[in-house]
Amino acid sequence: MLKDITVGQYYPIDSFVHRLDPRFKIIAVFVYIIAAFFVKTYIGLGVLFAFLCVCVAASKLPVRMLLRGLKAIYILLAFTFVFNALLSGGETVYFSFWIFRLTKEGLVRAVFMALRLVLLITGASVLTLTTAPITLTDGIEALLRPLAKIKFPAHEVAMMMTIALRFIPTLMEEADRITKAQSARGASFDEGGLLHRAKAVIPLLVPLFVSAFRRAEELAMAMEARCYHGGEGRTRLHVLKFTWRDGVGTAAFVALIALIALDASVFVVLFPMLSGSF
Amino acid sequence: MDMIKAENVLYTYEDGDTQILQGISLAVRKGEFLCILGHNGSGKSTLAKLLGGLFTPTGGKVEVCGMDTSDEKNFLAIRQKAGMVFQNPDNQLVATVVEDDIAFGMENLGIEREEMNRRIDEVLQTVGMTEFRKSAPHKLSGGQKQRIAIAGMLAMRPEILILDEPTAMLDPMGRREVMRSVESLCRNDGMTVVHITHFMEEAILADRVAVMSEGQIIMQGTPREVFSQQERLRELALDVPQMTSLAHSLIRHGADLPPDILTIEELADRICPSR
Amino acid sequence: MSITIKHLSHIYAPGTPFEYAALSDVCLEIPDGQYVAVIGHTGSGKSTLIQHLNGLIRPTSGSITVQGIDLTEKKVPLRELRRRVGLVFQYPEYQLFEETVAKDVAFGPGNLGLSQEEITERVNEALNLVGLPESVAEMSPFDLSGGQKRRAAIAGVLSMRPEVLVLDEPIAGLDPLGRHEILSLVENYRRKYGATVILVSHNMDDVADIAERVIVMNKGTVALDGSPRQVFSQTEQMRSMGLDVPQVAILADLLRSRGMDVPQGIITEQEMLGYLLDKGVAGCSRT
Repeated sequence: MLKDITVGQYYPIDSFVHRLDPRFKIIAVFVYIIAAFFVKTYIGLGVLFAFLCVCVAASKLPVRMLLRGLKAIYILLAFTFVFNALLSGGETVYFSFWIFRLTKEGLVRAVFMALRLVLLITGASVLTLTTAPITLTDGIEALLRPLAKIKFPAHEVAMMMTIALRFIPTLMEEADRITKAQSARGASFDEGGLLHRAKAVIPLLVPLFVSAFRRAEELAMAMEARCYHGGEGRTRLHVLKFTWRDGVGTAAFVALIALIALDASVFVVLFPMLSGSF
Repeated sequence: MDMIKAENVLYTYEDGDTQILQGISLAVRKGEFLCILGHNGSGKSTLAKLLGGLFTPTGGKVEVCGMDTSDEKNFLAIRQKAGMVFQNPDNQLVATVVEDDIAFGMENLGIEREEMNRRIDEVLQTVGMTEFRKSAPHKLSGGQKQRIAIAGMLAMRPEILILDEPTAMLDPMGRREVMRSVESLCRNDGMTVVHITHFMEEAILADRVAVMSEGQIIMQGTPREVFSQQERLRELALDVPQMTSLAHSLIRHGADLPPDILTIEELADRICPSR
Repeated sequence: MSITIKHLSHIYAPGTPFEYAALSDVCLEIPDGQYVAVIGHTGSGKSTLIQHLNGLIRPTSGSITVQGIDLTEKKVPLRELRRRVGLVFQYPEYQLFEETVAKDVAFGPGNLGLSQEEITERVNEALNLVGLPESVAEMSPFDLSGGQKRRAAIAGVLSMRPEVLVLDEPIAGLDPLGRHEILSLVENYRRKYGATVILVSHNMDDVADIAERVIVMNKGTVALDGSPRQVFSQTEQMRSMGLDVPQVAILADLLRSRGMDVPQGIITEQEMLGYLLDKGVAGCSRT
């Protein structure tokens, strides 16, 4: 289950999308997600899907990698589908029981909602799969920087994210080791009732926290020894640059937004039958 | 010239009234390889942090390159001059990629990008880790991580390296890797090194050994001078290099050997000179 | 009763790009009460091997029987296995979690479902064995010194009174005094209960002094297996695997290369001293 989650994983290859400026990619995904929420028609959904296909092709990501990411959310998908199919209401009733009514309109809507969710998740995965965590952090920091004017700790937030990324594997290893050590002392973590299980994690959590605090203390000292004194006067090894690629990306994106906006306003008027607004 | 000068340094932790350091005076000369030995709890780690300006003495005075470590104005300059490497290789690497980690200190100093890239190439070569530039630190071995930590310090162009038990958590291979880098830095590049350890084999490499116990320096001299005082070291629960110990046993049985034998070759030469 | 390992292999993450054979075709027979040292550098498979001994990981193929319990069966009596095989991890002080040292040491026996009196008795005995004074029992384990913490953690395993005691680098990071304390407490436990001891260590000089048998792991296989004498005489092979050899063994090699007839198998300081005195080296003689 855990290994299926591709959101947040980086797929290290070289491609057009990989080389895009992380700032642009973050904004683009943000806008894409909003667009997906505003789309009301199958045509609009089609436009989004076509756009996503182009992005995936340009990113050289293997499609099965993206499909595997969807496996992690199949419960959510199924729930969305069933919920919409049975509770939407409508005129052509196929089946009804208590408060549930399966209708033609409900089914159409359920398919639409499920597809929208798939597009959302896949879009977000494209961002994390094509952007190294450290680059992503750089992007977030750059985007948050204007907020520093209103005393928002943009650099500190980015630093915290970097350190978290650095220490996640270390702490996972440590958790594994402590679990084994306590198992060797006869502890069991997968039997008994809820209360028993909750109590059983104490021998894991206490050492893990103690160790995390010790690490934090040592890391703080090591950072100080390396002249860390906050974001002031700091230079960066990686400087984000807006290149021609980002220009192309922006153009494509503006076109997408225009199409979605058009879809929302025009198609509904011109082809009310086809668009069947939700 | 003295790179570090400690005069009658006292140190007490804020919360307790136990005196960790009880009047330490020590001078480190330029280009010198000084090794500080001592059992756990002898105060050697605390001393390291005082010499690097991370702690400030509660009594007495520490000067690094002529700058008083108690003066807040000097903090950054001292930390740039005196690079520190710590015991746990996992807890001193900040970034998720080796080159970013090496850049961390330079970024803090506000160094230009081109210069950073140049220095990263250079220091990776110095510690023999060029091929790992794009690796993730958690995939490296302990010895490799420590070498990256050393490289990160070298990139800041320090004048002194203070190594606070950098080999304590490593396996023998990792220990050899790290010591090879440290030795070469001192011998070939003229770096001043203060190395804290409890491994005797590492102390043999030094120009001078200072032995600590109960917050005081109680023996000092060349490795030969120090290790020939076997009984004294044993009383302090410290090891003696095994060859020194063997030579002393032979001497006790009437052998005509010098008391300051340190290495296998030296003893072999005495027992059976090569022709 | 003994430990029998036949053609044991272990593959991590099989079928993925990260597939990695940590052990391949390991065969070992460890009789009751033997003091075995396992050496090998990081990644040689020694940690994977010892984790098999109390069922923390399962073999990919091959068989392993520990104290009569077959670990390849579907349902392994894990509790029974862990009562009989105690495993002390590297840096065990990082597993301490209770409010007091006594409670922490009681954690293992508590999991075995023993009576309260039995637990108390075992806790006291274990603390005694590791040389921690009674005054420490009611202290928080986090207030102890580094060496004391490690001994308290080892007491937490000894209190389960294992027949097989496995220790993964129990002396790592300790100074000479701390090393000596740990090794002698292991020896005390071994004497008292006749336990089999399997010790993973990097310190060849210690291993040469204490172990009856040395197993050298390299690249997931058993590279050398024999008495310390036999194993440490293979100085060339040991070094080619990136391992240390006792300094005395190197001295013996060097003297031999200069024409002295140092017998094979001299690996400890005492043995070398005896030989040199017999030879009347440098004018000295056995007095």
